[in-house]
Amino acid sequence: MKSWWSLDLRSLALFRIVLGLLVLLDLAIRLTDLRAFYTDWGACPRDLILPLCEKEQWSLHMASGQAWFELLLFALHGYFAGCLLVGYKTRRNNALTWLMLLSLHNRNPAILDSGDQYLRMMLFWGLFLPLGRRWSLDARSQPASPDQRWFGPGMVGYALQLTLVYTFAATFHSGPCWRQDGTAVYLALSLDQLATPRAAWLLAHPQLMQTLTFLTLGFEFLGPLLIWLPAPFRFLWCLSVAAMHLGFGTFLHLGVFALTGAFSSVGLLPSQVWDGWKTTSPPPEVARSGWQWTLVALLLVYLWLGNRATLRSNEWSLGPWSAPGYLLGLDQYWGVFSPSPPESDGWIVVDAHRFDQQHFDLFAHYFGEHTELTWEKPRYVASTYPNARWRKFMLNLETDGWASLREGLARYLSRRWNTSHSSDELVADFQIYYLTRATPPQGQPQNSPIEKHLLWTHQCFDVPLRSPDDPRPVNRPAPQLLWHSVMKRTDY
Amino acid sequence: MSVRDSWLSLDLRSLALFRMLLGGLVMADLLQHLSGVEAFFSDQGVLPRSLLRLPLASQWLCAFMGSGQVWVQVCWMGVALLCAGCFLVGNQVRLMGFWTWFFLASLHVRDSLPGDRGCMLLEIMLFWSFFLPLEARWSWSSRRHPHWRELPQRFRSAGTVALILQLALLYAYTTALKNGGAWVLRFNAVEVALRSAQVSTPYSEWLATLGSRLTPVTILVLVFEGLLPLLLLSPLAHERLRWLALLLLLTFHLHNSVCFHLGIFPLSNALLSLVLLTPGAWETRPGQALSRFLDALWQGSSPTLTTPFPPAYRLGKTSLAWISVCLAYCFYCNHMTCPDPDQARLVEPLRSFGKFTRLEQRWDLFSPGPPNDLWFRLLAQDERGTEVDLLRPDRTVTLDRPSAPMGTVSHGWQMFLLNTVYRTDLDVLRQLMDYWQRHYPQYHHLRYQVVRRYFDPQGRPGPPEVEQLWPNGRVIQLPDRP
Repeated sequence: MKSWWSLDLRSLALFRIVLGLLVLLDLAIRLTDLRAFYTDWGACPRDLILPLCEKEQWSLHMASGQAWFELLLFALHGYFAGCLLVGYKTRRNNALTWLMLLSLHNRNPAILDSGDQYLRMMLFWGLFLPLGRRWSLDARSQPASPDQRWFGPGMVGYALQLTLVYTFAATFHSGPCWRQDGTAVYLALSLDQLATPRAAWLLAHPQLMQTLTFLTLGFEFLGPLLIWLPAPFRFLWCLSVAAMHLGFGTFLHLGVFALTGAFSSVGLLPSQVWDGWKTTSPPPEVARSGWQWTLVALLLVYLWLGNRATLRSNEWSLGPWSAPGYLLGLDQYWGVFSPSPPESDGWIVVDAHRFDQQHFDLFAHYFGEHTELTWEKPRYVASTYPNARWRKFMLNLETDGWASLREGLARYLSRRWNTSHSSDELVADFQIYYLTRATPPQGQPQNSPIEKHLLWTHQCFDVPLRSPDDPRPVNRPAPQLLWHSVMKRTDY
Repeated sequence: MSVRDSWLSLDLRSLALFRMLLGGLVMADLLQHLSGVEAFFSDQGVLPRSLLRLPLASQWLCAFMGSGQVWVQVCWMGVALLCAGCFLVGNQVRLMGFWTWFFLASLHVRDSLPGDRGCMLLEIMLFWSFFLPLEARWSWSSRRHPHWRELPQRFRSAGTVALILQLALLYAYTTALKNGGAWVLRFNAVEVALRSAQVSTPYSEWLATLGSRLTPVTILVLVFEGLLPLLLLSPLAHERLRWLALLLLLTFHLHNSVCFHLGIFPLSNALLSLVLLTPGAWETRPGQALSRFLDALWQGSSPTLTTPFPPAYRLGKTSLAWISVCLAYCFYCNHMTCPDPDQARLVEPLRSFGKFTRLEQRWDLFSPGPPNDLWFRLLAQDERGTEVDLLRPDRTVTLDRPSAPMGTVSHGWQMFLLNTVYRTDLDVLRQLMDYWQRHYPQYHHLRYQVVRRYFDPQGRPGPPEVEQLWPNGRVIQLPDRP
C-alpha cells in the first residue's frame, strides 16, 4: 500500500502555503469587524458570549475586551500564519497558528460556519505532516533529502478527516429534496441571503439544478473513496472536490468555506502531478513513530464516534468525553443544508426612530445600499450584509439558541449611532425585525406573503420619544444614554 | 553623610529584604486564593465570567478570563507562584516582578470580591518595585555579580522617593478618611471595631470588655496614623524618626493582625515596612545577625560579569517622567477619595489610567467609622423539615451573636459575604445561592440573611435586626456609569 498510497512532499508544501494563505485571508476579513465582533464595545461582548460557550472552551481573546489587545492578538496570529506560509519553524508555527485560530473561534462562536471548523481541522492534522520539507525556509537550512514521497500516521489522519467531512455531510442530507425530488440546489439558491447574482442564471435551469443535487449527494457519498485509491483517482478527487466547492462559491456567498473546501485537498496531489505521469517514483520515506500511530488511531476513533453522535443530536455530544473535543477544537458538525436547505428566506430590518421623528433602517444605514425604511424585500438581500460573518451572525440571531445576542446587537447599534451623532439625529429607540418569505415550490411563481418577526425592542435613552405636538416646554435635562447602551453594568 | 544625600534614601539590604518579603507575601496571597479557586475563580463558582462587570475587566488583560475551568486557573496560579518564587530569590527580578504583578492583578480583576486592601497594597508595592534595585543584595543575580557588594549601601532614586511617598500617602489618607463620629466625636471607634463581628477575634472581644478605657487608644491611633507621613518625610533627624516610624508600624500592624480578621493586610503592612530599615539598623546586633544569615544563604560565586550595575541604578528620563506621572495620579486618586470614597468620581482618562496601572487606591480602612456588627445566616430545611443554619458549626438556628463569627469561614469567604451586603447585585446573589444549593444538596428552601446589631452613642449594642438577602431580598441599585 505504501508504494502507491503516499503523499508527495511538494504537495504537502503546497498544502502548507494554502493553509497559511487561508488563515491570512480569514484574518483580513475578520479584521474589518474587529470592534464589532471581538471587543466588549461591539455586538458580542464577553458577558453575552460566555454563557453560550462550553465550559471546556478557552480563548486568549477573552483576556481583554479592548480593541488594541485584539489587534495585538490578530497581529501575532498573522505573524504565525506568515511563518507557516514561508515555512519558518514550520511545525511550531503550525501549532501556534492552530491554537490562535482555536482561541479566535472560541471568542465568538456566533459567527462561525463549517469553513471555520474545516480550516481548524486541517491545521490540526497539519501538525502530524512534514509540511516544511520542501519550498520552505526550514528546507533551505537543512540538507536536501532525495525522497519526494512520505508515508506516516498524519497522512492517514488527514485523509480520514476529509473522508469524515463528506461522508457525514452526505448522511446528514437525508431530506426528500436531496434524495427524492432533487430540489436541494434550487432551495439553496433561492436563499437570497446567500445567493450571488450568478445564482439567477442557474435558477433558470431546473433540470441542471436537479442533476447537480444528485451529483453533489453522490459525490459526497462516493467521492471520498477516491482518496484511498491510487494516484490518478486521488488526482481526480482533488480536481472534483475543488470544482464542487468553487461551484458553491460561485453561486452562494459562503465566505472562506468555499476556498477552504476547494484547496484543502491539495496535500493529496500525487507525485505524478509534479513529475509527469510516466515517471516511476521510488518507494516513499516511512515515518517510524509508534506513539504517533497510536495517537492518530485514538484521535480518529474519537472523531468517528463524535461525528456519529452528531447524527443523533445535531451537536457534538459524547457526554463526559465531549470535553477533549471542545478543549482542542476537535468538535465538528458537517450538517450544512441538512436535512434540507431552509424553505424560507429572510432579511433584517431595524426600524429606528430619531428624536426628530424620522424613521429609517439603522442596519441598512450601516451595511445596506439604502437608508430609508422599507418592508419590501431588498433586490439583493446578500448585499445587505458586509461579509459572510455578518450574514452568519444575523442568521443566528433569528434562532432561539443565539437569542441572547439580540441585546448585544441592539446595544452595539445604539452605541455606534448615538455616540457619533448629536441632538435631533439621535436615535431614541428601535425595533429589530426579521422578515421572512417562504420559497415557492420549484417552478411556481413567488406570491408568498412577507412575515414580520419582532426580535428585539430597544430603548436608547432614559426618556421616551417626545412628540412634536407636545406643547409643554422642554425644561427637563438633556436625555442621557441608558447605561446599558454604553456598557451592560457599571464598574465595581 | 549629609541630610541631602541620605533623605528619602533606602538601604540596599533593606530593599533586598523587602523583595523577599514581598515575594513571600504574594505567594501567601496566591495560596490563599488557590484554596478558593473553584468557588471564586471558576465558572462553576459564585462569580462565573459572564457575571463580571465588563468595564473593569475590559481595562485589564486578565489571564484568568481565558477559561472558566478550575484546572486552567490552577495552572495560571502555578505560573504566578513560579514567577513570585523567582522574584523572591532574585532571579531576573524586574521581569519576574512584572509577571508577578501581571498575574496578581489579573487574579484580582477576575474576582475582586474575596479580595481586600491587602491585595491592593501588594499590587501597588509590586508596581513601585519595578523602579528599585531589589536584586543588588542577597539575590540570584547578585551571586553572578559579586562586585555589587562593593556598591554603597545607601541608595536614593526617584523609585525610593516614590515608594516612601506611597507609604506616606497611605497613612495620610487613611487618617483623613477616619472622619466619622466614632473617630472624631465620641472616640469609641477602637471599642466598636473590636466588637464588630465582621472582623473580630476572641482576643479582640476580650479587649472590647475594657470599654471606655479604650478611648485613649482611639486617639492614639489617629495621632499615630496622622504623624506617620511626617515621620517618614521629615528631612530633620530622619534616621531617628524613621526608626520610630518603623517601630510604631510594626507594633501597630502586628497587633492588628492578631486582633482582627483582616487577611494579609496588617501582616503585609508590618513586613513591608521593613524596607525603611536604615543603614544604622543593619549595624545593630540583630541587624548584623540577619545580615550574616542572609549572606550565608546567598553565598556563592559565579564568575560571569556582564553588567556593572543593576539596571535600576540608572533611571532614564522616560522612567523619571513615568514615575512622576504615576505619583501625580496617586495624589489625585487619594485626593478624590476625600472626604467620601463612595462619591469619588475620577475623570477620564485618569480613571482608565488608574485601572490600567492598577494604581487606583482608596485607604478607607475602618472609615468613616468602624464596621458594623453584622453576621450572616444561611437558613435551610433538612430532609426531615428541621430548620438549620448552615453557617454555624453546630447548625443551630438562633439570633444570638456567635463568638467571632467570621472565624468560621476563610478570609476570602468573609470578604465575599460582606460584599453581598454592600457591592453585589441580584445576579451575583442568585449565583451564590445556586452555588450553595449545589454544595448542600440535602437541604432545601435556602434563605440567606444578614443580622445587624447597632451600637448606641455610648457603645451599647442594640437588639439584632434581620434582613433577608435572598430570596425576595432588596435589590441593590448600583450607581450608573459616570
